[in-house]
Amino acid sequence: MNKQAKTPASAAPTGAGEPDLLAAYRDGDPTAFRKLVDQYRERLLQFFYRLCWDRDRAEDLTQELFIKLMLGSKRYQPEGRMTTFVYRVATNLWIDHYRAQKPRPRLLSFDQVLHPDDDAPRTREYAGDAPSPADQLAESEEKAAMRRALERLTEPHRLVFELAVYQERPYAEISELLDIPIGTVKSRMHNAVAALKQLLATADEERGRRAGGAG
Amino acid sequence: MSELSGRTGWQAIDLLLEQGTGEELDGMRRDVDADPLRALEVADTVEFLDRMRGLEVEASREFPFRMREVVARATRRAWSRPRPRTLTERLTPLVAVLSAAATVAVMWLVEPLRREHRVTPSERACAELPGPASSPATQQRGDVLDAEQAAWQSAVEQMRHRLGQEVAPRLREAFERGLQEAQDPLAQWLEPRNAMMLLRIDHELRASSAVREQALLRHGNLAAVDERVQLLADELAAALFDEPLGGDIVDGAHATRFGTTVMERVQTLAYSVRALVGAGSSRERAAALRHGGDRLAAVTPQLHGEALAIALSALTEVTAVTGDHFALVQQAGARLVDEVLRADGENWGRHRPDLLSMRVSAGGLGEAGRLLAWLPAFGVDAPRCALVRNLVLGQLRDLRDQGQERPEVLAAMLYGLGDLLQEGERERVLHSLRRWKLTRLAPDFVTVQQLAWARRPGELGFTRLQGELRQLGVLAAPTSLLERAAFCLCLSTNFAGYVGDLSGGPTQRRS
Repeated sequence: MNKQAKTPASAAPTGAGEPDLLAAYRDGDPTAFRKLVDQYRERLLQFFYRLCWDRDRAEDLTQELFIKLMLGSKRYQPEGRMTTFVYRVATNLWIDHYRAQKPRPRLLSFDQVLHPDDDAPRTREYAGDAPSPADQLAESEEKAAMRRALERLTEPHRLVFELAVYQERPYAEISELLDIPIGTVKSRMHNAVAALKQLLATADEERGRRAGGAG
Repeated sequence: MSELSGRTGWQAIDLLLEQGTGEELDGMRRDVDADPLRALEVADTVEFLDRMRGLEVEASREFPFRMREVVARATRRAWSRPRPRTLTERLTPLVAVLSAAATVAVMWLVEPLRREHRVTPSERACAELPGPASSPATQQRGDVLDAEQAAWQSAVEQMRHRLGQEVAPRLREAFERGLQEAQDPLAQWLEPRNAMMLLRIDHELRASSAVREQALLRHGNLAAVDERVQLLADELAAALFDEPLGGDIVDGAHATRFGTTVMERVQTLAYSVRALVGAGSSRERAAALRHGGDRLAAVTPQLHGEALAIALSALTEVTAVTGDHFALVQQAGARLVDEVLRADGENWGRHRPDLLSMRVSAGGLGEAGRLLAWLPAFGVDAPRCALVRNLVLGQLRDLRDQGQERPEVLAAMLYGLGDLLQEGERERVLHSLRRWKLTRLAPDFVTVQQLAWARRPGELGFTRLQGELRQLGVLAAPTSLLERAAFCLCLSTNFAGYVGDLSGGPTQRRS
């Protein structure tokens, strides 16, 4: 019964005993930055993609992040693990980007799990995410349902879910990254999982009904 | 009980993500074993997580290139940024001052005893040139020599003795000049480092086909030449992938397309790698370049003399472009220099060092000259590199004086040691080279490549050279892989090697 979910193909940097590549680069090792990019680029691309649902924008943000790390390396003073630092910069970059792009003037409670105003899939004006015909073909119906479900989470919940599930960060580190109590991290995570399960179940039922109707 | 399960309660997701201490996780597992509802919740969440984790995007084709640009920029910054000084380096000036003070004091005390002995300028120069394992702290100016410097002076005497027995007046002259030549120590380090930086920037510029075509057109060439270069480079990249990474290059096990002798294999490998650097970058070729660099790095420890110089010459380019193998270049470069300057019963006793033997080709000497100019950028002792460069030039001058005014000798002088030539000598070499048209030298593409890469925009005769190189573009590609790689480099030359020109600055001052 202790079966656990398989880990993603690219294992997350654990941080334990990892070489501090940023410090090595700051100290003049020209190969350290390449190793850093090789180690993090795929994960960070997925991180940004699942937050903005726009591949081009996710690639822009990933590039911007590495440039920030490069330019900031001179002042880099390792206080904790390098992985935490990288994710902190990534999270701050996303929050800045989200604030700059966010067009909706609504006020949402931080405890609110879902955007309240719709049952239908909500479109995000800032992401430029109108799927192309090719994308529509490529993206399976199930993935579309998962994406819609994630989109319906509020930003704070989605960020916690992304960091915990996809980036495999410990709750304590997420608490440090987002500057919120660890209890809040847990409650957001639990609420997000519950909401997502419910949304996916509804989507599954709807698909089943459609399939039954069509048959 | 734990914080998770006690105060806020835990959920299946916490267990599956292993959020908690070992004790907390054990507690959760016990709960799951005891409670069937919990077990169902965990199973449901496992399925949920598996589904959610399938949500990924494939990166665009441009993304790796964008990341490479960032890495290249970062590497440039690392190269150009002064390294933080270690404690030893910080203390070195203080140690030097204290040493100087101690030396003056000792000299003042022992001077009456030493008045009978006066050192010659040559002896003084020998003492100032650091020995094999010297460090700044051991380089004391003055008459008091430590053991290393005494050994070095003994080696110098042995070399001088050997050269005195040979009919090699230009080599002997170059040796004495090399010993006494006082060069700017900052320039000795800075210029090679800048050369490496320019090589890297040049390579990055050439990654853009638009830049390449613009440069070709500016020199009056055809854009179609670039297409040919790219095709040749793709073929060379494919051939490089056939070369196994491991294996001994000396045992002949892999002798196929890369030649049958060690020298042929090393030359083919080195020229193929350099042709990829010269042709600019693409995603597939970047992998081939790394593969070729790794293969060169694997065989370098087995090589000596000319073969080592040729392999290292290509490997330095790979290092400049990718940042790989820095330590190996430093180590092997120091070994190459030591091989020339080590004097024992064999070396400089029974025979000359490998690099200066009469078997070494002029082209190999040219490559060695170019390599030695770059090695200080990798931390190899600059004065020792300069001395070996002088010896290499002396060897080429001797060959020339012996009536071998062959184009490969002249090309090697210009290509690898052009900066050491005196003003009149350079003009004479250039004048002599006008006797040969590049198209008539054409089967020997190694020499043509050296001639082509020795000249830069703005130099006298550059336009004429471009005109001759244009005619190479219609020749059939050679069959041998080595000649093909050299041919590729010859065609690439039209837009390579001079960043100022590529970036739209003034081109020809004189022609």
